[in-house]
Amino acid sequence: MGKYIVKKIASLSLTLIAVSFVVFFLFSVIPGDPAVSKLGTNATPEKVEALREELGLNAPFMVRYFKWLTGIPRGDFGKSYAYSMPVSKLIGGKLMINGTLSLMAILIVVGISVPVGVYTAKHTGGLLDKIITVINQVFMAFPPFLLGLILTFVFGMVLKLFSPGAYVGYDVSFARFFGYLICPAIALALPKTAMCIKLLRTNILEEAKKDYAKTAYSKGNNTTGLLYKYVLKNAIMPTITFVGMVFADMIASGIVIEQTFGIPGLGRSLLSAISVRDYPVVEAIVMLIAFGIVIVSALTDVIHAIVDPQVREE
Amino acid sequence: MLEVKDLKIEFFDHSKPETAVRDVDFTMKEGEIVGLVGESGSGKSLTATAIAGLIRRGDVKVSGEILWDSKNLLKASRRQMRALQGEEIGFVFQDPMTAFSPVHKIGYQVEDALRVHGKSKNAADLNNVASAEGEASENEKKAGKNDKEEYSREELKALAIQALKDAELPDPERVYNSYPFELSGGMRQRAMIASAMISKPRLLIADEPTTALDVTVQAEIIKLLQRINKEDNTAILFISHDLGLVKKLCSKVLVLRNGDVLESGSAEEIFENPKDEYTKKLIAANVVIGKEHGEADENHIIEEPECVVTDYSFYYPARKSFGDLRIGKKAEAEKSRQPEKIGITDIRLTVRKGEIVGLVGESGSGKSTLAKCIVGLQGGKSATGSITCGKARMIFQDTYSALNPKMKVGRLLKEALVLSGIKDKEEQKKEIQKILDEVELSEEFLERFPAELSGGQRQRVGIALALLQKPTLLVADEPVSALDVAISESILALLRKISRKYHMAILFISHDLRTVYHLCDRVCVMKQGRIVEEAEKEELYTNPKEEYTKVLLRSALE
Amino acid sequence: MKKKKDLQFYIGIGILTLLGLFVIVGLLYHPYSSTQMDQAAKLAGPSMSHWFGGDKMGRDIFTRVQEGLRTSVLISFFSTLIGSFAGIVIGAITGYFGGWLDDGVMRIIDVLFAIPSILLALVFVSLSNSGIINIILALGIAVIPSFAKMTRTEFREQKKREYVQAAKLMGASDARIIFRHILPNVVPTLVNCIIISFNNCILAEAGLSYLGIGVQPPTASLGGMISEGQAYLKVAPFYVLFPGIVMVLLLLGFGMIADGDMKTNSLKIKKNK
Repeated sequence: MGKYIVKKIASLSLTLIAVSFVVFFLFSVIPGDPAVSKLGTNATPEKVEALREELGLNAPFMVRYFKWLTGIPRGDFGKSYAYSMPVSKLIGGKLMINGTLSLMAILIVVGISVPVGVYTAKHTGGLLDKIITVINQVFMAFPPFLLGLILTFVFGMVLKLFSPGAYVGYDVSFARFFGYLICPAIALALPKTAMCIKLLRTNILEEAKKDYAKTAYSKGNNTTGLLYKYVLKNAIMPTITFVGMVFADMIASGIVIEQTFGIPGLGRSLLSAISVRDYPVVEAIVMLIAFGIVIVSALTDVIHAIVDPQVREE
Repeated sequence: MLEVKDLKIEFFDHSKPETAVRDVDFTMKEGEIVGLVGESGSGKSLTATAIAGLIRRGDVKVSGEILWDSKNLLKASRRQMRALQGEEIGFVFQDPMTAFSPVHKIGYQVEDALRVHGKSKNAADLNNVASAEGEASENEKKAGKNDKEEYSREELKALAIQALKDAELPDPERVYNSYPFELSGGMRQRAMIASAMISKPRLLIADEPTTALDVTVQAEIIKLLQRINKEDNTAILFISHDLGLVKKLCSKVLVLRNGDVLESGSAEEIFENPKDEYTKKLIAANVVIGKEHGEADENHIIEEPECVVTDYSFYYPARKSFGDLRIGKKAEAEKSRQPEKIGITDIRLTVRKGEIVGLVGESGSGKSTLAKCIVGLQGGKSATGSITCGKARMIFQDTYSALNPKMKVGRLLKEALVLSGIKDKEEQKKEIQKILDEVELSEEFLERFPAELSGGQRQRVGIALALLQKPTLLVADEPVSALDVAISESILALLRKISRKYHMAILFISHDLRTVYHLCDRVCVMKQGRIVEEAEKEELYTNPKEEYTKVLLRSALE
Repeated sequence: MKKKKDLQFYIGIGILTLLGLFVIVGLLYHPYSSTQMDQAAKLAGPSMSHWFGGDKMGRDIFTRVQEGLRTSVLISFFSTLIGSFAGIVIGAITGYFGGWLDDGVMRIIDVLFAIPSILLALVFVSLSNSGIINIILALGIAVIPSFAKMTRTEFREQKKREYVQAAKLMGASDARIIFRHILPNVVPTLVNCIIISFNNCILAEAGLSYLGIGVQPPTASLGGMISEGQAYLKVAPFYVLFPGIVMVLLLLGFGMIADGDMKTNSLKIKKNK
């Protein structure tokens, strides 16, 4: 197991370095000069050239890349073009917001889908199972931002349980910050929860058809015993993988949902940085997101290996 | 102890009910071994599962009587049935790989019967359960659970290890902590038997317990079952398609076909004096090596080598993975998971025109690898030595996988013609007509997909495909292993006919020494990638030189 | 059970037919152009003259939903076309041949998986200019990795089957084996994958337009309309409601087909065995 984790960390670092290269490369080939976009199109060529020198844009690509790459482990993502301050300062606080939001959403997904998935699998063909199947199908078709608007309308405007747009920073009051994030988290989580329920249900039913289920019955187990002793451990693995993948999706749709609820998170920073071609900020955000995704996918692999000894061998 | 009367099993999942088993009658006494014999689809496994109460689907109707200590199990509630399962009736399945959950340790799964039933042995008494439970409501269920005394962890482990030891597993401690994929097939089946025997049931149902195993391992498992029967006086219901094994093990035999019992009686009666035609045929196919049947056709071999393999070695490249330090147990596990990835060493082999050479060996002996190297699917740069061969084509074991499921038979045959350069429509038609006659298929099959054919018909298409390209050597990789006796015989006859008619050289690969005896002229025995013995058929079967060959012959033919 | 599976497929078809009819009605009956402003209709609720009401500039929401639907479908269609074609070719080649090429390409794809495709599309579209062609390209490229991986897995699976070896023995070329022998066997899975990816493109396009990066006004898009309507959620909920309903129906319809189709296919396989 220890060896497996070491291997995983090694391949994880390699992936991250590759990602960093891809990101940095993309931004250096994208057309458009950040110096021009900061100074405006009327600026004299001399002025532009001076700024390019100041921003370090004239150094060769590989030099710039290595300077940037070696800074990352220290949390140094360079200086923002637009605000002339370290990128880390600019976006450091946003991580907390998006991290909390994604975590809440994942917890909702797991918290709802596991019990409901098990229940529906156990009572296949029952009335509740049928109703849940239909609800699932519908929820899967909702884009999170639309769900967000519906939640805003129902809970914010009709029931007045929260005030839309009145975001409270975590540094002001964590409780109110947390309370404000509940609706966005639900909006993010519901479509994925529906998929997760369906997946788990299918997997459980699939596993229960396998030969070892017959063995378990031949020992005198009842269906409940079979389910909790054997099937669940076998069926949970694709669900773990799925939750890992959901995380990546969550981060992406988190950017959109921020707009719906007026949350000043990474998404907003990203959009404003893009609009002024503030590349260091954009690069940092993309890197951070990739970092989160790679770590989560490595984590799911490790969980996988704990559950299934065969994975460790591969 | 067990009495089965007029057992009838019907399926209702199609539009009209289908009877899968009818009028099965037999009795079993304590300590008796009864064999259920039949081919796939004969209903033998279904009968066994019905007795064990494992038919749980709503669309299957089981009628008749299954009396256990004179109580009808078909009338028992699920709960009553469960009290018997794992306690009084143990069940061993065909494939121990899938019958164990892959993510739980062997120990945990072996203990399971004890964990389910606890210490109270009388819980299995039908009368007790019935009166104490009445209508098993949820509350009473809980109360019933509290009654039983649970085993402690240590007790469970001790008993499981004892059971593993009883199943003659070496190093039971290690096996206890292993996952199923870490064991070899034989060890898994022993562990499966241990898990069924841990609660010392009175009846052990073994559903084709040796089918997935090699012959030498088969013989060991049979010995183990015999010992269990003797020492614990456990009755065994043995289900198999292999008459040899049944003859070795059972005192009473039932022969099933298409859900009907054709014949039943003591083993001697049936084997010495079979009444039914079908039984006779089955027994004939299993005859221990005797006289060559059919006319002796000595001169069908032409003294001209068709395929010569000289000092040929080939190894699969090691799987690359950095930091790979697989040793011992893990390396073994790796092997057992990929039995076909076996290298071959120093192969010398000659097949003459018109000759049928048998290649015998257990799984993992490298015979399939050799076959692939000869036809050119494997080998290449990393191989040493030489293979000189005419045009070689292959016939595969798994007829389902060997024919493209999305192509109709006609298109498949046409594809083979197009690829050998025959593009003219008329000519194609003629060739196809000719080949259909050759493999004895009618024209209507051209419009069917492989999935719409039976296994035997698919294999005929496979042979037709190989023949269409006019090869001079046919490599047949276990072509009849997946087929029933009668069909397999007709396929073998077809191969013999082709060999004689075209002086076709055939390399016939099989794990079944009987088939090889009936078909081949010369036999090579393979073990761990090497040919350990090669001789004319009669010579090899009557006077084997190598110890390994002797073991093989003994386990297969006795 | 069997009946229910089919039912789902047909409900999906039904929903899509409904949307098709909706588009046809719009094509036949369009008294307004999508950019025509009518001060009286500004944020006015549904009425006989404006079936779905009017937007913040007094444009007819019915007409704009129509146009938005067509834009969304068009973009997603072409993105999926590009993405699936490239992805299938890459996946087929890497899956079939394996070896170093496969290793290399899969490494790259793993790296791309670490960056959410919509994020990639977002950055790409916003830094180039957000023309429809660019959106199509960005989304198309974004779905390549998942297609390639899916196809590769399928091909590796099929390659193990003996019919592939048989074809090789018969002398079929690699290209012939890939396209004539293996491809028909993986089509059912791929069709499903295409539908799902079409849905993902619709979602992604809606997300982009909602953020104001995708389809640019005055061209209508469903995501864009929802974004515009958000500010008027309280006074004119229909502004969000109608594009929202149409989008959900679209996603639901395709989702149900993909699902039902998959089930009927696996059913067929089971029957054959």
